[in-house]
Amino acid sequence: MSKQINVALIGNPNTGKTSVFNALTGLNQKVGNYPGITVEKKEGICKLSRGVKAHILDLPGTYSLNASSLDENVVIELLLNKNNKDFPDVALIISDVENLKRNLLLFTQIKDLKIPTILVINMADRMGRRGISLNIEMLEQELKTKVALVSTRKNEGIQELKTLIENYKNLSVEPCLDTSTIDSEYFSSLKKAFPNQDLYKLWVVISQDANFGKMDRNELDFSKFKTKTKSELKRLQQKETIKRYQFINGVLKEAQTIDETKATDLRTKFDKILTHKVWGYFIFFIILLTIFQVIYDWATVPMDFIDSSFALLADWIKMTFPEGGKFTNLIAEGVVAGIGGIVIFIPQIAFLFLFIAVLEESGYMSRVVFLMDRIMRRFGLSGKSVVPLISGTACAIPAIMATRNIENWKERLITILVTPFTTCSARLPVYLIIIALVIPEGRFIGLSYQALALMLLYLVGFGMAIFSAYILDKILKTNRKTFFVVEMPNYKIPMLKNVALTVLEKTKTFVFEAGKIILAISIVLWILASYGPGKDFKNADTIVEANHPELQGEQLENKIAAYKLEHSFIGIIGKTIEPAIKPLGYDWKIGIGIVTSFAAREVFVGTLATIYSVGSTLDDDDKTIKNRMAHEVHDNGSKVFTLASGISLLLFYAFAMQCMSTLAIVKRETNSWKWPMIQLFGMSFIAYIIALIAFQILN
Amino acid sequence: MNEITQNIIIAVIGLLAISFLVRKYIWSPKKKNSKSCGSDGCGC
Repeated sequence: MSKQINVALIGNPNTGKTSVFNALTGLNQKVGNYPGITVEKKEGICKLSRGVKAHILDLPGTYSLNASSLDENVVIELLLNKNNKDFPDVALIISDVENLKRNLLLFTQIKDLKIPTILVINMADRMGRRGISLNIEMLEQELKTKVALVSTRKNEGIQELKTLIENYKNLSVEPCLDTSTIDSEYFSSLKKAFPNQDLYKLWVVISQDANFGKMDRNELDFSKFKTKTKSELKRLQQKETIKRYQFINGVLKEAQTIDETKATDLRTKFDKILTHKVWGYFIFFIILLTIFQVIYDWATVPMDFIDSSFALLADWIKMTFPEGGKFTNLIAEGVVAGIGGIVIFIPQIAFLFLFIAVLEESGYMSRVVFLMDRIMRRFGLSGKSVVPLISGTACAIPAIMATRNIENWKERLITILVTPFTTCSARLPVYLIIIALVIPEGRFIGLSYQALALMLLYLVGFGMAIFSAYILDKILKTNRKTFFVVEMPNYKIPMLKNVALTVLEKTKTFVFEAGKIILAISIVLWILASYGPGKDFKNADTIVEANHPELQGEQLENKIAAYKLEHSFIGIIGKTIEPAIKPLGYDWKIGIGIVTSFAAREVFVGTLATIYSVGSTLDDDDKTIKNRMAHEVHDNGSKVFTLASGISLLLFYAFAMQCMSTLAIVKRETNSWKWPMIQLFGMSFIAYIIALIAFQILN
Repeated sequence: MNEITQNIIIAVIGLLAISFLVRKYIWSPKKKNSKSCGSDGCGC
C-alpha cells in the first residue's frame, strides 16, 4: 500500500485557500460535512513523487485559534485531537502576501501546537504591483519553518510546495513563542498541575469559550486546578495576541519591505464607486439584471435539447419494449419523466452558479454584503444576517447554519425565521417552468419579460424576508445589538479553474441530491397514478366506451387514460384537496405537485412531468414537459396555466415553507419544534393569502 | 413478462422508493458524533 500524508490547509478567510486546494488536488476532490454538523468538509488527493499521496483537507477559514464560531471550532477540534483520522502530519498555513502580518498570528498559534507547519505565501504575483519584497531565507529562519512562495493564478510554486510536503519530517516543531511568558505565574501553576501535558495545548483547551473538546477535558482533570474566570481568560488571550504581534512585527521588520510609492491603489477607487450609497445599489441592480437576462438567453438552446431528448427517450423505451407492459410504463412515464424534470434545469442552474462564483471570486460579493448591511440595520436585522440571507439564494440549510455567528439570540432567531423567504436554487426550476408557460416572450429595452419576472421574484423573496424581519423585530424585544465586521478582499480576476470547479460541484450536488429524491417520488407517484381502488378505475374502459360511444382509436385511449388517472389513488388525493386550492386557480393535478413539494420544492416539476406523462393526450412529437403543461385544460376547456394561475403559483412558491430539510435544521438550531412549526404554518398562510389575492385580482 | 410478475417488480421498486423517502425525511438512524464534539449547544 502506498504511503499517505495527511495535510491540513488552514488560513484566514480570503487568502486563496481554495485556490491552493484546487491547485494541489485538481479534480481529485470531494465535498461533504463534518460528522453531526453542517460545516462543509472539502478533501482531496494530491499525488506526490515516488507513489506517495497526500490527503488534503481544506479546513474552514479562521482568523485565530480563539474560536467564536462553529466553523472555527472545527479547526481547533481537529488540531487538538491526535486520534482524529484527519489529524495532520503537516499543516499548510495559507497566507495572503498583502496581509502577511495578520495571517502570521494564526501561523504562530498553530506552530506552537508543535505540528509540523509550512507557511504558504499565496498571491505572490501581486508583490511587484504592491511594492512588497520578502527575504524568504530570513522569514524561514525567524519563523523556524519552510516558506513556499506561491501564485496559484500563474501556477507558480506548486511543485516546490509538493516537495516541501513530501519532506515534512524535516520541519522544525520548535514553537515561536514561549507560552509561559504570557503570564508566568498562571502558566507555572498550570505546568505543575499537568506536568505531562503540552503547555500551549492546555492553554488552548482552557481558553475556548464554547463548544470545545469534551474528550480533552475528560482526559485532563481540572478539579485539581483553579481555573480563571471567563473575563480573566479573555484578558490572557488578549495578552497572548499582543505578545504574538510583537514577535510578528519583529520578524516582518527584518524580512519584509513595502515600497508605498510602487503601490497602485485601484482598489480604493473601485470601492468608492461599488459601495457608494447610490451608485453601489444601481450597479448591483444592473449586474442582477444582466445575470438573469443571460441565464435566459444562454440556457434556452441546451434546455430545449434536453427536454426533447428525454421525450424521445421515453418514446424509444415504449416502442423498443412494448411487451414490457406496466414495467416499461414505469420506466418511461415514471423514472425517465421524473429525471427529465430535473436534468432540464442543469443549464440554468449552472449559469446561475457561474455568476455567483465569478462575483465571489472577484471580491465583489463582499461589497454587496457591505451595501446590504446598510439596509438590514434599518429593519432590525444584524449586519451579520446579510451573509445567511445572501447565501440563502443557494440553499436555506447552510444559510441557517451560518446564523451561528450571530451572538444575539433574538437577531439570530429572526434571521433563521426569515432566511427561507430568499429564493433558493430549489425554487428555480419551479419559477423557470411557470414563467416559460405564462409570461410572454417579448422584450422591454432589450430585456426579456421572462428574465425580468425571474428577477422580480428574487427581489420579492428578499423584500418579504426584510419585511418579516421588521415585523418580528417589533414583536420580539431586546436591547443588545451585535456588531458586523466584514473583510473586503482585494479585487481579483476570477480564476477559471476555481469558477469551473465551483459550478461543477454545486450543479452536481443539486442534481444528485435532488435527483435521488425526485426519482423516488416519481416512482411512488407513478404507482399512485397507475393503480386505483374501486370499480371506476378497474372498469374504466367499459365506462368510457359506454359514456362516449362516438370516440374511437387514439381519442378513446386518451379519454380512458384521463379517466383512469382521475380515479387512481393520486387522483383521489388530488380531488380531496382540490376545494382548498381551487380559489387559487389550481386544479387537482397542481395540488398533487404542491403536496409532494412540501418535501422539497424542486419535486414540483418532476411531479407534474410524471402526472401529465401518465395522462398525456399529445402527439409523440409534442411530449416535452413544457408542452404537456401548456396544453393542460380544465373540464370546461379553459387552460390550466394562465397568467392569473401562473402568477398565483409563482407567489405561492415564493412564500410557502416547502422544505422538510430546512424545517429539520431550524428545529435543531432552535432546539424546539415551536419555531419550525410557526415558520411552516406562518409562511404557508402568507403564501396562500397572497396567491389567493393575486389570482382573484388577475382573473 | 406476465402481469403478476410485473406487478411484483413494481411493488418492490415502490417499497424501495418509499423506504428511501422515509429514511430521508421521517426516520433515519442516528449517526455517531465525533468524540471530540462538545456539549455547549454545538448541535451535535
